[in-house]
Amino acid sequence: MKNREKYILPALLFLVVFAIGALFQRYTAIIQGHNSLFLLTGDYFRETFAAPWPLSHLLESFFMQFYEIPMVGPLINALATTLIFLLFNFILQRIKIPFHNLIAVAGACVCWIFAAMATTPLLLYKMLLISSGVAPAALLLKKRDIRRAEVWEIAIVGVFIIMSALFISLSKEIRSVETTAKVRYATWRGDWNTVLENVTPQSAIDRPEMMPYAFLAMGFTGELGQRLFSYPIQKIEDFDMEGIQSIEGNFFNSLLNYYMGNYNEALHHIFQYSCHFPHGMTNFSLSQMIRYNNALGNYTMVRKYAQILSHNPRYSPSARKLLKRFEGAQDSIPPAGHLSSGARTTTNNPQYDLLQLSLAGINSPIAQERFLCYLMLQGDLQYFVEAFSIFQWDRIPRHYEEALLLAGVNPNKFGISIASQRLFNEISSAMAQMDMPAVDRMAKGTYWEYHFRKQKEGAFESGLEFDL
Amino acid sequence: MKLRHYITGVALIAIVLHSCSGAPSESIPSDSYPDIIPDYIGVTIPEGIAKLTFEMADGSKCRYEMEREGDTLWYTVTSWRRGEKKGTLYKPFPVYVSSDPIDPYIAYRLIEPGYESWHNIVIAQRELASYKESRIVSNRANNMGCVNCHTFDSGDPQKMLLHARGKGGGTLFMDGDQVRLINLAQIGVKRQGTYPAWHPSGRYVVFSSNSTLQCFTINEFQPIEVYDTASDIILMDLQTDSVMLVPQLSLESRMETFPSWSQDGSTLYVCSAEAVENVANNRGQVHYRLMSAKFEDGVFVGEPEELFGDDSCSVSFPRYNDGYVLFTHTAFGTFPIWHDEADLWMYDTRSKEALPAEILNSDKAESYHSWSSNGKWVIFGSRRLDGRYTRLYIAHYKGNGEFDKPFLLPQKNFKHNTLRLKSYNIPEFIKGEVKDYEKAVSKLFK
Repeated sequence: MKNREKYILPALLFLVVFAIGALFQRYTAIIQGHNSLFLLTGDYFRETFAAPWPLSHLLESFFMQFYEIPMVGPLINALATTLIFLLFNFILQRIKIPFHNLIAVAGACVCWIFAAMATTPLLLYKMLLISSGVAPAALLLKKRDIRRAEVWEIAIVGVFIIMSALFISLSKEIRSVETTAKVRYATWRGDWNTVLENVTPQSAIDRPEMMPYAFLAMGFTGELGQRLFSYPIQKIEDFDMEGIQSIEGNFFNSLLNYYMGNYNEALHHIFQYSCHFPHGMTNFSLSQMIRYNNALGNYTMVRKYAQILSHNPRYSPSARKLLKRFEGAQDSIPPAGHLSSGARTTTNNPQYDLLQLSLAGINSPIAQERFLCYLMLQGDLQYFVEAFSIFQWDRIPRHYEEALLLAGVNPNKFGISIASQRLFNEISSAMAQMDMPAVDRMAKGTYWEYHFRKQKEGAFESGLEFDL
Repeated sequence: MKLRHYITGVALIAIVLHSCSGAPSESIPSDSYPDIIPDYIGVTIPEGIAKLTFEMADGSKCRYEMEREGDTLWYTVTSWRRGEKKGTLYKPFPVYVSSDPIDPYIAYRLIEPGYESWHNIVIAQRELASYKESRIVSNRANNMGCVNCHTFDSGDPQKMLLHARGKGGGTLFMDGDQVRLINLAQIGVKRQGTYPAWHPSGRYVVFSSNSTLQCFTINEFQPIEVYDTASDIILMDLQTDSVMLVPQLSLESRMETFPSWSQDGSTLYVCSAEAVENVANNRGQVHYRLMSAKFEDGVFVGEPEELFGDDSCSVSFPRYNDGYVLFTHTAFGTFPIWHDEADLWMYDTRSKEALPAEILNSDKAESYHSWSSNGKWVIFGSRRLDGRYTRLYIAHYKGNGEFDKPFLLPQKNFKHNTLRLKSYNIPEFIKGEVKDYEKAVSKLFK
């Protein structure tokens, strides 16, 4: 075949970029799609054109709305990268640059790498636009005979592509972003097993900021009271993302509050989340606001956000279905004369907030267990015992037994297992003999380990009188 | 011959197109008005306002014809559902045209109704005779900080102020091409200014200085309560750039806020409430009264006088015109836009009575409002469309404390009100177009 490199090189580039994207950035692309926004409305276009690089942003936003569909993001990125290569190659040929294949693939791969490491693949779209703009000008130049690429050239191009692929696949940062994206996606979908597979006690040593996801997941799998302290939790702030006004914090708190039934607070956080992005809104935010307003019975707002999403090509069909479904639905309205002055409120104090949730009549098992965990993490054992006594347990989770024993309760009255009692006695005995290595060994992964450490730090009093 | 063929061709095309438009050829007359959105039936509009656009509330298609008879526009609406052979011809509804002129522009802030953070904030202006909206300044100019509380010296587009918060922020004073940035917290009594009120003379500006917080309710119909823990009144003299506390309006035992001047500048109206401990939990006990204070030769004289209020309500945003004070009335608290029960009331300074301006109100919040320069029109924010996103309504003032039915600020397409993801804040009338201050402000924040 004449000039076979004309087909082999772009095909190779496309396949490699797609494969790497599919293997190492699949969830990153999905989250990018969530965080984009494309609307066919006047305000959207006005805002886009008021910012720098409007055409690139428009192109990026248009394509990124489809990234939410699995594999589409890697596919589009691969197409964009390949197109960049083809355009670069075309321009370089026209201006008679030697080794144009090599230089073109180098340029495309550099764009690919930078785009892969960035928050969004905007660079790909910028390069696409620039090269699309230059290519017509290059058409005016005289076409020259295309020299067939040497084998060594094709080999070097191949090496370049593979090296780029290796760089991306081995990049710690890219892997970290992909793990975060995977966990976020799984949390949104309620896929708790995937969350726990990806946020393990081991991985949490390097990435403690992911632990709140694991703790939320364990609230659903019923393992929170059993496995909380198998994670390297150092302080109460490791338990959640309270007060963290970052993208991660707002995303997490939005879902956490939704799952606990605190929908106003979920809305609060999704609004905060949206403000991190251009346009102050994202596809994800809109869909979540529909979800939360539906839970609140605020169908006027459901319809409003569905109406807005119907101006997004990707979401339009489902948005229109939603509009039809909620047509005429009446909002739940307050009783006549109702004032909100007596309503329970939340603050930035998680323990207080969880209590308020309960007092507001929201009986969320997730919230209740989290409340117990906060008390343990704070070392407030007396209050823990009181709160614990309110709930019913078929079988008391391990860490709660540990806290109860530390608080000095009658084990038989509470039904604490013999195994926990025995271990506690052994640790007590080792402590009395000042055999601290034995204490550390036996207490590893228990609430006692955490409690003793905090006591040493002077964070709180212990239920036991030990001279440490 | 060729011309005749051409005309015939065009006519045929027009007929074909009309036939394809979907409009039924026959309509059944109805005795009732059409159910349109927004509700423009019986509203009073100023001469020259941008064309009113509306659609059928039930989503059916419609077309309308408008005919003018004296000071009344008659709209005849025909509606039909897709695929139906017959439409409904509704009883023509009136829209009244007032001969009272209106200021040509309004200014407002556009911001997400988002709680704590923001992304894009724009202080924009809108020409009332068209749909043209343009920027005055955005928060790109101050590195994505907050821009707020814009106010004009007696509606003069050449003279305004606004706050630009964030790093290196302060209060911007615009006077024609001149733009100054002053950090009020660094001069005089070293208090930050919040809600401003420009004295009619143009020399003084009064600010309330507020410590504002908010709390979030658990699955309550009202999601947020915004409250002050403290607020006082400060007076700035623009001739000397000096700022001083107004002692009789800065009592420790009270919170004073929302200052506003009478037309002659001799009286300042404020809202004042007893300071309450733990406001978040006791917010139902916060009741602002309407007060007035006398101002002569640059100083406040005498003690403030309580005009209206009790423990069953709270007053916000007093605005004086023609012997009346238009204010926002709520059950409690100080940030009425989040209160569905918030309504506009009129206090008569002569009879000393206050009554709701019923025709302006709805079952959702009516909040910030301001008068036109001639006192014949009022513009106010209302959440009546969906309960969350504030939209602007304009009403004609008839005199004697009465208004005509308000109308929604016209848009090219009504759907704009649904699709716009920002709320309108602080609507103010202005007497002309304001220049774009983006570049000038950006230079101050480099």
